Amino acid sequence: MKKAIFYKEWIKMHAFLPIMAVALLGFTAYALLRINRAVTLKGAAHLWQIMLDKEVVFIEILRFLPAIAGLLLALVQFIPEMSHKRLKLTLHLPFPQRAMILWMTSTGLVTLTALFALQALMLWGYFHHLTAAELTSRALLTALPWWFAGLTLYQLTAWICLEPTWYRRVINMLISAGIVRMFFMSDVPQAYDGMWVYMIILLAGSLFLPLLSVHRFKQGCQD
Amino acid sequence: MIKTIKTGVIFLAAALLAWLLPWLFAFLTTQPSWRPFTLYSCIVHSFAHLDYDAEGNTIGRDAKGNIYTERQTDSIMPMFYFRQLAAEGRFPKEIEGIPVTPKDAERSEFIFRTSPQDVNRPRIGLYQLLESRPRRLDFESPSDVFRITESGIEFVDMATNSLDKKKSERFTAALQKAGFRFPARVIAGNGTTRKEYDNGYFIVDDDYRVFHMKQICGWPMVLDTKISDSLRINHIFVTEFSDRRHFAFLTDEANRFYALDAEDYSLHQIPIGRFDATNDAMMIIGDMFYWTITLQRDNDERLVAVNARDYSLADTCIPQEEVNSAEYYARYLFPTTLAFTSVKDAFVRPRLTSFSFPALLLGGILALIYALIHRRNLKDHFWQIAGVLILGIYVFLPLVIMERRA
Repeated sequence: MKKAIFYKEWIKMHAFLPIMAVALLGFTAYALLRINRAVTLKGAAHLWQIMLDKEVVFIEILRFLPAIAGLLLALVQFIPEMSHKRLKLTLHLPFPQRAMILWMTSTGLVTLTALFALQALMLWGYFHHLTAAELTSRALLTALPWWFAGLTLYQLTAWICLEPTWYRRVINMLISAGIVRMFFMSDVPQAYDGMWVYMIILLAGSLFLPLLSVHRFKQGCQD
Repeated sequence: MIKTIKTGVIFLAAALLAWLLPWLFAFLTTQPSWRPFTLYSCIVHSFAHLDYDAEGNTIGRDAKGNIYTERQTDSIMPMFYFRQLAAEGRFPKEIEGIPVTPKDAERSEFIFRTSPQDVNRPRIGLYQLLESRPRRLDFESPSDVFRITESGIEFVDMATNSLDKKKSERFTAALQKAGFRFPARVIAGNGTTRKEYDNGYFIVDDDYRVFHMKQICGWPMVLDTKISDSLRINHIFVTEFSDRRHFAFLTDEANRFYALDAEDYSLHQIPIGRFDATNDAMMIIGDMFYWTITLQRDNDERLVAVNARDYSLADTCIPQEEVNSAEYYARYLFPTTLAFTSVKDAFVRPRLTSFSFPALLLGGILALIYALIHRRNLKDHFWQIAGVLILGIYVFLPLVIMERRA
């Protein structure tokens, strides 16, 4: 049954995944090429000095990309479930309902994590070659909240999409907007160094939110 | 499980409201706050500040209650307005019996600033050591950076991202020869090339001894400053002011503030009381006669005038603070406030203010309203009513909104 769930999710995602992967990794390559251009024109030392003096990591252009990826992937996965109330059919499959929803969201989360890991690998490879370990870890630690934002927003979007009424959907959107705002509150590199525990708690907690929407759906809540 | 998730959503919404409602309230009730520019006058020996009269003309007022015209204000602060006075031919020939010229004023003036946000921010651990005696007049950007590890100092060439072993060994040996014990507790210097001269770095070793390190013609110069390790120096601000009188300002573990003399590394305690660089902001506007030191902790401001010649206390002043009525009302509205950023550091993390007991009044009213809404089954809503009573509007709003039957 788990295989069937994964296959169902694959059918929904397979057309979107290559586009998302190309966009995410393409933008990352573009950001790195921009850095490379600066290195070619002014030398690596100039890049180091800017990173040290101006508190920049040169990958700020990628800031919202993981969040957009998380949002779009959740829309692709869960809007079809809600159109014509197809979720009803899904919930009638011979599999525990909560486990079913968790498997569905896990598929998306694993996909996103794999893409973000690829992106991190690209960044690490380039920065590690060009700069000191301290600057490489600074760039990656600065990007880490962006990836957390992508994963959390994926869960929040699933929560919003699966919610059966528009009234609660709007409330869920407002709460989600507040949560996502937390991930983008500072431009200072490594500003989120003291926030990891809270971000992990937030992500772990958001895993259960879609279950609430499905519970309301099963209770027959509707506009 | 669903009940737990529902409770979690209410708490999440309450946390978001505790963050956003006080922010919105502060945003809508922002009042212009103006603190007059105040300096200690070496002529009238009192703090004096700029102000405006009823017609909008610039005037000066001193702490003794005297009022000055703009022209007179220039005269009572000759070391700050020396350019204006010199242009008008009014610069005094001597002050406090000491002959003085506009050139002296220019050379001795300095402004020093530090704030908690400058001190409490993510540190990378890589530093740029300039060549203190450059070939040309201007400084050149170094081609390497250094880090201090558990066992030595390492120079990394930026162009090749590789360790400069020879230079690293040279500087490690020089530090060890001077008695430095790795690792470093404090590393302070100005890596910028936009300065008149270079004082290098001041480094506190593992035994709390303070060392002075410079690079002269590519070679290390390391000196033990002989500052007592019992002071446990915890912050160093390398100054590099035009008068070259001091190397740096320092603070110790007991939050005392010092100036480090450039002539003999002697330490002079500045009589400003406790100064915690991680919590307090400071601005010094100094000249050869007096330093006007503005100290700020949260909303409290304190002014101290120090005689620059012998570091003695000249005067102190606590400006009257206008009461912010919005802050007063906020105490009645919000039981607590959640914030993620702070003026005290550059980190993002949740910070909760202490509980405001006056807000219990509003919490009580809202709890009563909530109890009236659920008067038929009060027993089932006991915890919700308790939550509204304590956390007031933050719990009341999510409960009422979420419980509405869509």
